[in-house]
Amino acid sequence: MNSQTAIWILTTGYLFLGFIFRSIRKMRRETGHYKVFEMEHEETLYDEYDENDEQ
Amino acid sequence: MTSMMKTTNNNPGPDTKCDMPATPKAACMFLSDYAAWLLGCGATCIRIEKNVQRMAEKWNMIQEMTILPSHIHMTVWDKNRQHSYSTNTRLHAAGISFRINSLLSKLSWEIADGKKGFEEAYRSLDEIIRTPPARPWTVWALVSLANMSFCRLFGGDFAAMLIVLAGTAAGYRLKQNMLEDGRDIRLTFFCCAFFSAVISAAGLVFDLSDTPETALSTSVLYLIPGIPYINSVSDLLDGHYICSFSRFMNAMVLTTCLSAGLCSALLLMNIKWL
Repeated sequence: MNSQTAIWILTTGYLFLGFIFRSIRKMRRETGHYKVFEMEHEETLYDEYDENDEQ
Repeated sequence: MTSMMKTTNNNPGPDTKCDMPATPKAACMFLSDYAAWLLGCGATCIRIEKNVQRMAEKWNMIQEMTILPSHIHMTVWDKNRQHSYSTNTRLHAAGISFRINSLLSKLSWEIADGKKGFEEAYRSLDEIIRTPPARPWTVWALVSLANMSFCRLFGGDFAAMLIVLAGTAAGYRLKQNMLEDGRDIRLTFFCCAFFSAVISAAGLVFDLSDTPETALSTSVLYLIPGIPYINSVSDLLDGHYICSFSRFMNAMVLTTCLSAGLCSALLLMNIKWL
């Protein structure tokens, strides 16, 4: 494999990897996977408020 | 009983659909918004002028409009030139849309012919500007096929056509993604031209085609900003030199970016083009 072929494969591969990662990121945003993480944080905050009320 | 009068004169008659704007301000706000949308969707200056003039005449108003590359300066007088209202509106960057352009022109004729009154015109304008864009995947497929046809027109063989199809499909999809993500249009053009040219260099790299140079040269044609060039010439012929120059410079900048992308790809792939 000469350098020209290697450069072509690397460049084209980089482009398609970019498409794949962008699609994954878009799908995560649309299905709300990030929101699950945020909900866990919210529960922790409420726990802190409960502790303050008890005192 | 009311009757519809198919007329473009200044007497609306007893038609209930021909309600007029009450003040020059109301007419000015509508006309400037209308003109800003028309400018934003890629209409020529002469079309904007004629459409606005048609509607102003129907409403017994006198309009004076200055069309600048990014703004519309509109002044509307009442018939007796006693009261006026001026406004400066920035163009609504909606992207070139023939559909919105046609619907807005149709609206101006409907108003001029007395089919729509002022209130209804406002509602129609709101509906028109909410027109959804063409389906992205349909446009993507058609652009790829069109560029493949360009390759054939320039004498490319079947293998070159398929290479251009693949390069255009990847490049146009990248363009859609980058613009969706809000990237600068110039950077988008550079990147799309670069990747399309690299993919289309497969004909040379892997010796797949008898006409690899045709594939390489036609791979970036889908990025050429044809409409701004054509509109620039139209504006030049109608005496709108500022808009003409502005459109021409915008088109030149984009063409320079895509040329830079193409040259970068040729440099990277070590392809001698001279």
